[in-house]
Amino acid sequence: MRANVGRRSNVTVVSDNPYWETPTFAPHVRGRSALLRWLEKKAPGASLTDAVYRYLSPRQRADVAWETPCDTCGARPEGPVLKGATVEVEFRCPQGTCKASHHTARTLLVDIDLVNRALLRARTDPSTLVQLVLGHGFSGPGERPRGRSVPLPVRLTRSQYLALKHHTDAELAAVFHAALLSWMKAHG
Amino acid sequence: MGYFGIDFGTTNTSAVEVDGRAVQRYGDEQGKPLPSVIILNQATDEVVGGRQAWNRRLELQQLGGFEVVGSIKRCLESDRHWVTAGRSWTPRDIAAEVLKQLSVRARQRGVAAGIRKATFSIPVGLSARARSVLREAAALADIEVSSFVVESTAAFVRYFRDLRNSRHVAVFDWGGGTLDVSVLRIEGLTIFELAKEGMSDAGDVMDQELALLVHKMIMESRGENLAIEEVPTKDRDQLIIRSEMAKCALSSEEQVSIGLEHYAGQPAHVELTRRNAAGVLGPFVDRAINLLASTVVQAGLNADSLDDIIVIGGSSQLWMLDERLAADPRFAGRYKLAERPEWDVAHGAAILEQTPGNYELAETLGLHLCDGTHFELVRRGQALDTTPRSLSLALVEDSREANLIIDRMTDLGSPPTNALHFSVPTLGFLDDEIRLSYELTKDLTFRISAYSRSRGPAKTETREFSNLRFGYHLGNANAR
Repeated sequence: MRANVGRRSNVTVVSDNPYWETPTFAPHVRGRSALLRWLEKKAPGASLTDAVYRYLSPRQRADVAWETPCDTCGARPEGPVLKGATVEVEFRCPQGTCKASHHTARTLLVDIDLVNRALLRARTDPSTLVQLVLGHGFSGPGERPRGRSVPLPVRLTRSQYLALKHHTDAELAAVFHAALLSWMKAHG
Repeated sequence: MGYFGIDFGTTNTSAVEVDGRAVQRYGDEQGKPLPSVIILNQATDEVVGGRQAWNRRLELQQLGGFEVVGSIKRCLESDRHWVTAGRSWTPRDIAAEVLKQLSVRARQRGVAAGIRKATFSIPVGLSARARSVLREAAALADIEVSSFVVESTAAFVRYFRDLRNSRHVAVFDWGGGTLDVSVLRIEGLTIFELAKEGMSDAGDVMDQELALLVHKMIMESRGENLAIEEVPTKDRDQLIIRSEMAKCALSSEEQVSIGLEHYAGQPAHVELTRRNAAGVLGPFVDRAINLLASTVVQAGLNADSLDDIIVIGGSSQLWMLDERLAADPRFAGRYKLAERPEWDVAHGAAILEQTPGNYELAETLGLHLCDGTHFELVRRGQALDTTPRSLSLALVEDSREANLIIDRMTDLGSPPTNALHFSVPTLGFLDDEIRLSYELTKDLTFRISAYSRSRGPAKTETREFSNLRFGYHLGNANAR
């Protein structure tokens, strides 16, 4: 029989005190409960959403999302997995009620002119564009859309939903706007 | 006075003195190594050792009133003790008596002060505790331990002059208590241990298995089925000794007679053939050859990369080993039996004693960190620096235990392998810090300790790693 378990180190070397304030310590923190405790120390009183985007790496953000139970079935997602260059939270419902392909609808307030330019560039439909943009990667809320804003219903994957569920509609719009600008920049 | 090396063996102990080109060997009165047997007179506290003790061990054991202590090396760490009228003897005391006997022999042969300082050879993986007991025993015998060296590596040092043009060499040292295999790389005047492994399937265990076979043969001839455990202890001990003698005799004869005056109430006599014995000894030989093969692999080599294999030690004289090595395409034609197998280890240790401190670590030990990288604790090429060092660690996840994993890395690019691991209880993430201390010891072990600040140094967890690989620089004088 082959062993299917292994030992995992859970320590890092520290020198300065308080060590948790040093920039070399932060990237190593892992696990939702540890990350939330660290954020409480690092940014006391800050909103979780702000702190998550300000201080955590995509991988750590996925860690936080990972241990958030599903709204529908209460199960916890499987964990962060690397898909291409991005970290996603893989979800497999233990009760079979929530399919992996299950999408959740949210309404985004988007800069319609910017979206139209992006649609021309991507030669695709709005739904696919949203997936292209969020798949490209997203970080914290940036500036809110300045141009003509219209509400656009979008379908978020489970991974996107878990990562973004704590945002208000306005914050979500800002996250998408920043991600769209970044995607436009990357695609000429 | 020259430089001494001591091979403190399970069955025999020997010392060799090297003084320039002159080599002196110190053992018993017959020019053989000194048997590692001590007999204590329970009434008078008198100690008898060496060949005299070996020759009289059966007689005195049967007479009663004596404690016969053999293979003391096997129980250096144990809590055993032997009581005589005036005192209690620990394993350290018994080992000291063996070493005193050796020093007395050197004095009788003209070394005025006896042996005062020596490099000791030890089996692969001898624990830090056992090394410490051996060092204390030597001190009781007025011998200072300059350093330790693995027996199989010491044996190679003895042959360095002849094999200095080789690149990779394996040493197979099969004695009474252990089988030690070293795979070494020679770079100029330096030899590096690439891998060393050991096992305790050696002469003593084979003797016991052979004794069991002889017991069964006796019972069959009598038509009885008495278990060996039901035979009186003295008869059983005698059977083991006769079986050991028969095993040695089978190396030169096809068949050996074993006669016992008293065995379970009556005389016994059996004829032991090589064929009978092969059934018992064969698996030992197979395991020994497998260990040789696996150590070569562990060194990152294959058998074809070996230029030479030196076969040494009392158990290596077993006829089956020669037969099976010769029939094994991996090793056939590549091995050679040592010229003076009973002295070579001590001789190599004495050569190293001539160039004290000329060794360095042949591997890096690193603390495995949470991100998969290693923090180097001791580095390959580092001279033996016994200064204690320390560092602070923090947990990176919500846990009540810090998992400390120490890996070893021999060459650049070779994957790390685990040396040791342990856990230290903590208060939890952000609430505690772990203080780690580590050092190379003069006993050539790596000691690492850790405690959490919250629990304090009184709750320190300590581990020692005693299978470190070293590189030895041999001076030009040793190479010529």
